[in-house]
Amino acid sequence: MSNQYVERGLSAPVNVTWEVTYACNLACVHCLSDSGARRNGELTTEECRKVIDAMAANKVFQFSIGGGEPFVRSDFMDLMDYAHEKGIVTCISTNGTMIDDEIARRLAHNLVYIQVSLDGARPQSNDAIRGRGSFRKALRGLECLKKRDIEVSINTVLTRLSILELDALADLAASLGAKFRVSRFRPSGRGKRSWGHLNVSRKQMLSFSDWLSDHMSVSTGDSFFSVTHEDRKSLGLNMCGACKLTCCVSPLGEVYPCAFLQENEFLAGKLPEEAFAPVWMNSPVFQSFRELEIRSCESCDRFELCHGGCPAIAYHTQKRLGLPDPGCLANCVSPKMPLSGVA
Amino acid sequence: MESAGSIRSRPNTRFPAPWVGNRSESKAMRSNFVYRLAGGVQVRREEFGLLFYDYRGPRLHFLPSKDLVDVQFFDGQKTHSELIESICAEHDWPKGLVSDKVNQILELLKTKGLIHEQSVC
Repeated sequence: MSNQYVERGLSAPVNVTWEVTYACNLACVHCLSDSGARRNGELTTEECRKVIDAMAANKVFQFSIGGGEPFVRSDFMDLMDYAHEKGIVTCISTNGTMIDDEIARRLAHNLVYIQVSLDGARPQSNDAIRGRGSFRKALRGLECLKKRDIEVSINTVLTRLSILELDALADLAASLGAKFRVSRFRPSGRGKRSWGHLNVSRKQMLSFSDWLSDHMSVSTGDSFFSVTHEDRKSLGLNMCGACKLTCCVSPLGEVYPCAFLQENEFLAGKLPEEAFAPVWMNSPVFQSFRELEIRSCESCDRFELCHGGCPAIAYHTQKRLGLPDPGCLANCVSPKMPLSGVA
Repeated sequence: MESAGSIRSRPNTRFPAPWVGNRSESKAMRSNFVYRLAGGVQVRREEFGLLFYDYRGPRLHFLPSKDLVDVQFFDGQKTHSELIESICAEHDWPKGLVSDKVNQILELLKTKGLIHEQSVC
């Protein structure tokens, strides 16, 4: 990773996480954005098109689309078509339950990646997290995508429950011709309430790290770097990309450092009322985030692997930035940290 | 987002992209070639040079070329020799040295599958 160029600051994000709605047909217990009902003030179709125009004008390469459930928006496919017309790649995170043959047909585009969330390899385990019937519906959606040869990943949030089925989930993904990706659980949104009983223990985190090293094809998302071994460091970012490579736009058009830091104190601007470039380049929130240093980690021999880990997890568990990621495997974090589930 | 192979550089105040190469490689380059981005590849200008995004991966490629080669060159509208001439004219740099540097950049980008070359003859 060419950290030297990234740390100096890029002219625009490479990738923008865009949560297009809070509306969702499921109610997952770990939802990062506490989604459910549509909220007042969500961007209209025309406002969304302006967001796409702004990102295209700034040469943003990719949208990571999430929510809520994006397909709940009736204009969603039209918006994706518009983004593709502008040359922007879209990686769509979905619960998969609304994908049918017609949607799969429209998604068969060379600028589209799809990521379907599953949190268990069986209906019982998945539906305990994501709601009754969600496993069966997601599988049906995955089959529709497979028929169209659309590039798909199955994404699982690492929890005390899902960690028990990683092998089965990897097998399920392989049987569907999908890649497998495991994301860290973060205590934002409804995840704040389920963190205590769902977050993995330190022993499980170590076990997962070993599992990853035996499953090199499994990707781990944006900043799962701090729990991986040396031999995986080339497989992903070795630093937090927030405000350097990426940022987040909420369903209301608010701009934040990342999807897991949608808190008032991190609000950097609002689209489409404000121009995006000044928000990205000059907002005090983004500038201070770029200068964030995890000083207590700098002497650690793993520092070059993780650069202190995920600031969002540190923030949500310790209520301020600049502290180490409590999921660190080097035991550099005091065991007195207010973490649930630490063995 | 997976990060990608960095293109490393050493400080050089005159030429921003000091890749190691030789003149024989340079001569092998065809002056009437044009260059276009490979499918799924996009590029934009950054302070350090060019930032390539490759949909396959996706991967990022950082090219610390400063302002030696502009993104428009990869539209295929300007030939290799036209590029060299325009750089020499703009910066008053020796043609042989410019040609070497540009050729090294193009070879690197071709090797990484980021661009295709095509003869205009």
